[in-house]
Amino acid sequence: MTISKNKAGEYAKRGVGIAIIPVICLVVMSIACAASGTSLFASQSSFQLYFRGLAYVLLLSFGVSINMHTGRFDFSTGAQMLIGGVIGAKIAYASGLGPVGMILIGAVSSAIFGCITGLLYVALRLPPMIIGLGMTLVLEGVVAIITGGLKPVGFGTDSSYYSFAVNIGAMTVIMLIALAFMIVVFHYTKFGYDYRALQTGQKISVNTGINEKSNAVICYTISGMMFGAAGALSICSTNGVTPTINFSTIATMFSCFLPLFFSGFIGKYCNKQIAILLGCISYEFIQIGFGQISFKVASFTSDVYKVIEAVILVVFLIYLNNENKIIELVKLKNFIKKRKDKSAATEEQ
Amino acid sequence: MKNMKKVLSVILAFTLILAMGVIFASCGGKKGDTKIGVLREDDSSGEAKAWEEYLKKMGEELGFTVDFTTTASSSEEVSAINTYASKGYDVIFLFSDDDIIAAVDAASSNKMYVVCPTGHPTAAQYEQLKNNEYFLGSVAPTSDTEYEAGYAMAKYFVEQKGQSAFTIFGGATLYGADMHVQRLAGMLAYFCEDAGTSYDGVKTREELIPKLIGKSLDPSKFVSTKYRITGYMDGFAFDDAFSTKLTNSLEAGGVCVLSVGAGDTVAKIAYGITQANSKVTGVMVGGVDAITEDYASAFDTVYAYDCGKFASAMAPAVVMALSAVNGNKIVNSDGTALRLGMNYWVATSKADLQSMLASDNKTDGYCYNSAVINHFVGNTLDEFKKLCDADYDAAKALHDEYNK
Amino acid sequence: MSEEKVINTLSAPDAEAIAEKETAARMKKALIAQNIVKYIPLGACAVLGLLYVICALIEGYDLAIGFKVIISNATLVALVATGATFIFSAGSFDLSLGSNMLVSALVGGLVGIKTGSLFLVILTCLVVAISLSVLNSVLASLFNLPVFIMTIVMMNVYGAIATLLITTFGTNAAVPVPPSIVNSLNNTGFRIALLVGFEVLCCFLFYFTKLGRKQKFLGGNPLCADLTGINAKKLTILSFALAGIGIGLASFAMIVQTPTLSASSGSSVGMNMLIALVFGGMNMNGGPRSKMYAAMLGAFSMAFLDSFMNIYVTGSWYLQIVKGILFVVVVFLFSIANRPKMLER
Repeated sequence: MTISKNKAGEYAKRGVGIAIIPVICLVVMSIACAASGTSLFASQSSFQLYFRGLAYVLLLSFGVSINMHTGRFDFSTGAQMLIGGVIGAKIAYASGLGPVGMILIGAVSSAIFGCITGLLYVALRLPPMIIGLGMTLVLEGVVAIITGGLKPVGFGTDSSYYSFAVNIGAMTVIMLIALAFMIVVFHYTKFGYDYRALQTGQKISVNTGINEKSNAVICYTISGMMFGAAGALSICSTNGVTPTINFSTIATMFSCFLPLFFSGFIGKYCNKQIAILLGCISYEFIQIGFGQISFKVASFTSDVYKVIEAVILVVFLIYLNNENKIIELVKLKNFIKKRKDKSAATEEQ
Repeated sequence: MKNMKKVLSVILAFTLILAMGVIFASCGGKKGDTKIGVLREDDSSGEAKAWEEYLKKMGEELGFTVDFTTTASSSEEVSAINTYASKGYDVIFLFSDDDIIAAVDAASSNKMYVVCPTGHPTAAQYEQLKNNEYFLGSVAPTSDTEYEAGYAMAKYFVEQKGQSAFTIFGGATLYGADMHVQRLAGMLAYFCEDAGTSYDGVKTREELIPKLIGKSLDPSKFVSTKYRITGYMDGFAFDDAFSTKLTNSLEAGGVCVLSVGAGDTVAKIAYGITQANSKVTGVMVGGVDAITEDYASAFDTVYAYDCGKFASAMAPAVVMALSAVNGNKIVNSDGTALRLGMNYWVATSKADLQSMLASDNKTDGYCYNSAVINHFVGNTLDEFKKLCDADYDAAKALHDEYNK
Repeated sequence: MSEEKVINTLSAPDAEAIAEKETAARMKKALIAQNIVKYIPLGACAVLGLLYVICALIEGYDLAIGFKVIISNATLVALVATGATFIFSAGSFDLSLGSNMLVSALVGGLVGIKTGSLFLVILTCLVVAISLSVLNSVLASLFNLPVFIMTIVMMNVYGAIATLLITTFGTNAAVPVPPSIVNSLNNTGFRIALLVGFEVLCCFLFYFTKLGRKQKFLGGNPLCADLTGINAKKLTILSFALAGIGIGLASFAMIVQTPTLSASSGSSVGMNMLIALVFGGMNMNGGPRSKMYAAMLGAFSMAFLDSFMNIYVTGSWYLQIVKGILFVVVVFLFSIANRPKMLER
């Protein structure tokens, strides 16, 4: 009886831990939208845009998390996204392969560039940031050459690309495939086992015979694949793109920080990849909410919600890095209150 | 001690290199052809490509060298100007306008002429620059032209297309960009000509501009018995928030989208929304952009009105540059630098646009070709103004007259 | 007798002596290699400078103006990067320096417009830059946040604040500082004086005071530094404050150079600063191998490279590819003597 009570308590705690952030984001943004005279999901198209944004940020977050969680910070994320998306768009549109073809080609192209980045990283043994910066410069330059001098890449009157991006079913399939892939590869293969060993103890893992170099190259390749797919989806969302260079792609990766930090908390209660999905779900509620609010409130501009998003990130980070202290503080206060109540009751008696 | 050695060796190395520079500093630049350096922020749009091709072609025909540098900030502009100076360039075309004063100062201190062919300095900046010997002036659509462009576009969609519900894209209005503010003011001023229409209690251009500059348009402040503004977007991020707002606005009935710029991007996204959303039909987009091939293809989607600069719009700048280099600078009657307006060309259909492109392109010849330019180089101010003021029909007439 | 027999007949002390000689020879080789590698950044800068001078002469370009451009291009990056060396040497990281510079310049510019006082402009730039820089480290220290992530967040926040300042107080998407306030300083002499002055100050602090030694110690081995009584938090905050001085001076130099400030002013300084440090041979992990002069070396190397490429190449994307490749190659060459056994993180 006690054991099943404990188990039930454990499951309840887990359930709360998993759901709390998505629920808070949903509730807060719904209230904020209602206060602004709109609603979070005003119509069918809001759901379409939500799933589109979710798929994009999920692919991006998966890709960034692979390297970031092993201490490798790769600046070339945005550049890989851009080059994969551009190559995918140009080949798919020219050959009539459509959006699915575009995403596949984009994923493969960026996987190749990711692999090159990884090979440079293991061969030169330089800090990942240096490799990332160098590759950003090179890849952006290559994009400029591919596009004949940064000419716009588009789909003419073919609206299938945009329609694909707002197809809830298609986006759900993409997300499920990505999620399944990440769970299987990182949790049920030797590669994933080695990855997690290296994540927590690099020296010990290498000493036990884990091939750190091949593991790193595969990580970069898989990340590249995710970025290419995300880049292709991004281009579908705007029905084309006009590339820019001079480090303009670096800012792209920062949009997945908040979902990844959300997942840092949720991941204590469930599988890491599912935690990332839930983090992205929470983040996308905020994004859609901002869009709905700014539609109604003219002064709620993109600069204002950038600041708000940054504040949310900082506050959440503060909580995440000081969770124990905060809990102690809460418990201590409760403890002191109980003591006071007890001594007050004793005095009365 | 070791650190002192390192610091000393670095200082010595620098001194050596700087010294070499000083020793050889007497070497001058190349002399020969007129050289024009073009500074621009946008090097990828159809408009930028069209101007680049035009200037290169005119360079070949008229015997001047032209080089392009893309800059992203005012310090890069100044650096590029100084670099051109070291290469012996004669003229700078300033497409970017991050800091006109600093750019002109840098150019004039190196005895290079400056022309602004895409925008005007502010009134205060013009006062500072007008007597600068090396500042030839600016020739581009004026604030009045921008205002009239917005006004005419709104008028077209109301009177020709029978529209009354609008979505508006304000571009850089939030950041106070004058051309976008003027275009937006023009649109609103047209709407406010209706007795029952006002924006935040005001109706005229002079009253509207302070309400718009540095702010986002607030549709709730637009009061009208005849028109509706169902949504407003600005900035150039084109992210999820943009798509959300555009979708909401289109679904609310604002299917006529008036754009102060980047009309092709807005049209592409609006087109995608139309195709994917059965609730949204009859979408049409108008923009103050450019007369280029990209916009011709945009007409195949939902683009319905294009007003903008054309490839030969660089001709007046070339005339000013060559006149100055040849010693026949074209100036105002009081000797100050020019500040002249230019007209936009307007196309309301793909056929219209294509016929304009057919008379102004690299393959079949430009409207303001070398023959036209040669007529105006070193000519009088009044004659030069004919070139600047010409609309599409007048431009064609000029071409025919000087290409007999 | 065969050679083997000869060797085998050597006495133990002789064999020892030969082994010692061989070890000494190997150590000498390693030392020479290390010394060669140490001077690669300086050598690269000198080579690039010479290449530029020779090619510019061949093409008949005006070298006086050319060097003016190089110094002007290198100034902002060198100032920010020199200040940032304090941060990196202590094992920290900061990506918000470029955005900080823009906000400081904007606030300084607004004060200049209001007061017309050059002194107040300089003071404002310095105070705002130091405050924003210290804010990063204080927030990170106070709340136990990873400094790196904090600086990325603050980079976005400062960027948004800069845009808000321009839209609220600017005209035509810019903040126009009256050039008359700063014109007198807009010359190469001022920029050289500012650079050399700040570099000398920073070198003095880094190489001849306890501060520099403590920073290198903290960057090299935080645990030992803590155990020897070095207060990591205080030292980190001080490092950020010193970096703030460099940012403040750079923001003032930017106002002097181009008095009209827009959202794109100094936009590339943040990333170019990182590249400059790496080009100059700075160890991004900090520690005892940190070099204060790496920033200046790197900034000038980049400026020489840009100017050299501009002679022959039009189209900034080719230059970008070359820069990217060179960047990785230079860092690799520099790290040859100190290749880690495991992959860097």
